[in-house]
Amino acid sequence: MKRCIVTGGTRGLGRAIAGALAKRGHRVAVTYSKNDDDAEDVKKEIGALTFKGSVADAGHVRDTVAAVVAAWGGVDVLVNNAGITQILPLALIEEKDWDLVMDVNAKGAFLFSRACLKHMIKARSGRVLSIGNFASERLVEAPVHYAASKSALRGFTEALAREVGRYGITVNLLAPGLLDVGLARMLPQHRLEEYRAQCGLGRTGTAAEVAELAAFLVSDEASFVTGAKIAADGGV
Amino acid sequence: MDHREILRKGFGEFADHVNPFVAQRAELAGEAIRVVRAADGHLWDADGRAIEDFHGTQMFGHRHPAITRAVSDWLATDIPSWYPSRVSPHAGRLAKMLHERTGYSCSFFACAGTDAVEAAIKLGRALTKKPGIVALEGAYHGCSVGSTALMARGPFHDPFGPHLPGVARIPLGDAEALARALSAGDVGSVIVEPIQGEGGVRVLPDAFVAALCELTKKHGALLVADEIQTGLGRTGRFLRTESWPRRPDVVLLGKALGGGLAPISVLLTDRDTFARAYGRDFEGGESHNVTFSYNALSCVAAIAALELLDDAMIARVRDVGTAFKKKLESVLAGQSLVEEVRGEGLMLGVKLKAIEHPWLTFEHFGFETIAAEGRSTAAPLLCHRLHQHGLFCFTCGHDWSVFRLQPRYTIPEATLDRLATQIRTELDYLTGLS
Repeated sequence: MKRCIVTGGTRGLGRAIAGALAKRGHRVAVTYSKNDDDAEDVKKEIGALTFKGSVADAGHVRDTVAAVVAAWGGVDVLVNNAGITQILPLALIEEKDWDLVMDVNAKGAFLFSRACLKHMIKARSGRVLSIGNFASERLVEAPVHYAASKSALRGFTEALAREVGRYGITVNLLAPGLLDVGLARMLPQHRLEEYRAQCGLGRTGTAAEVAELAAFLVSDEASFVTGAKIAADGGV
Repeated sequence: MDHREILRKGFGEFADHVNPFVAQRAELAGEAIRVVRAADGHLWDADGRAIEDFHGTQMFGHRHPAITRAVSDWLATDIPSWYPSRVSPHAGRLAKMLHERTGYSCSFFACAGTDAVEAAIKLGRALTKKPGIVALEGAYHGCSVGSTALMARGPFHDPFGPHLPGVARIPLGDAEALARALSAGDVGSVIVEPIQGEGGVRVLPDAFVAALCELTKKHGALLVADEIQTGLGRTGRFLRTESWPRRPDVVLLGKALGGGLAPISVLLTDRDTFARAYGRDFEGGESHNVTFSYNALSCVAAIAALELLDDAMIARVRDVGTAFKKKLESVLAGQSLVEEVRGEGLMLGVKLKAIEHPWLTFEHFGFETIAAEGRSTAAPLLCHRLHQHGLFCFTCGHDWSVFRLQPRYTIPEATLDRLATQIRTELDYLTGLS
């Protein structure tokens, strides 16, 4: 039984990942930023610990990890899932928008990883999985701050994998395509159709499909996978 | 029924099961979506942010306590809402009140504004036996099939043909075109909005109104004023057509009539006109019918709304609207994107020039179809900016270069001042980007 933290774990893909981990018998803690009702649902559904706050708030991160360690004696898995986007073209992205998206999507992963790795390194074991996005790798129209923040996770993952690999800790990036949750729900129909046309499987994915892959990547069976970017995008 | 649970999940359920494209548009436009509370005339979203609504569906703000109380008091009685005979006492009382306020002696009630438009189309044909209908370019009279035939050409009109035959469109303000259209002798009705809303907050010029009044009478065509936007005090008069040289044969009201709570619309005319069209026998009296048109629930809300809409309230709309228009003109003076402030009372619009920079075009944003229609980004972008400040403004449906403001009649003047300043700030921001 692993002790897991899933950031942004009360909605969408994060919730699906939390569910997939719980289904495998793991203990799961989720963080969320706004909706107490969703958190209550996750608590009821999978018995998760829930923590409210922003992943970009170092105090929240510190307190959350400390509480998980206090409750369970350590942390084995971190899924950096929390992320936001704003559908804005370059001209309309203000500095505060850039900062917000980078803070949540990139800095949040850094803060949570650092806080968890303190314990994982001591234990000489651990799994860090960050959720990227196909938009950071493919020539698709995506908000530039969002794409930049997800690209940042790629470099973060590769460097961190090298730094902590000596302790038996794996660090990977899972890059989903358009799913039935998240970004796809905000895109106009013609953009979805473009995606389906360019996608080998000809469809958008589901959160459940990606969650299963996430659960594998943080499992013992994925012990020789690190520094990798694994796409789950239907073959774009 | 667990309303709290519905508020948690219903917004997503709307996107899943009602209209995903409306939900997407709202997301893209940065509109407040998770609106969960109405108090003090405005709305509050799930994050506790106050939203002032400028759409014009609410004369007195959302969930006015007097209207809410009237409806809940009525619900606490055992009075029927729907009458099998269709003879509804609350409809009778509402019609009497409308008669006292407007002089029109006959009310035909319906549910949506477009129902009233359909009723007018049929009344014109039944009365005159002439099939022709004249509408104005830039018109918006609703989205049912008859109303769509009158609609300005474009995405609300073009995909739905073949349309009702006999419809002719003339340019707004073109009295000669009107005369030509009527001279054929086959026009049963002429339908106009005294101020076009979706068409760009365009006020009918006085000379054109004079021609409308004279020529329709001369040619025996029903003059129909669609006051669904302009009526009920919106322009500082109970009916905008009060100032016309001839009272229209038919006036249509809707939208705010139900006090923002219940759907109801009405076709107002004279008893004699109605009788000449439908009074030959009993069957004729029901040849145009809307099942729930006389329901007491909607009528109660409308009665309560009319009770609030007294002369003092209408005078406030006139005075506050005049002052706000001047304020807008003053605050926006010299702003390079602003072409004109338009409208009357609390039905105002700001005509904006096109934003020329390529990176602020729909083509750049990836909306090629909209770009091909030549749509302006000016008003949508301004709305997008204002949404971030809890100011829920909107763009004219047919003319995206016009930004539209239809606040509640009770809006504090300080809120309007804040809006004017914010509009200037955001337009300056957009100008800086281009």
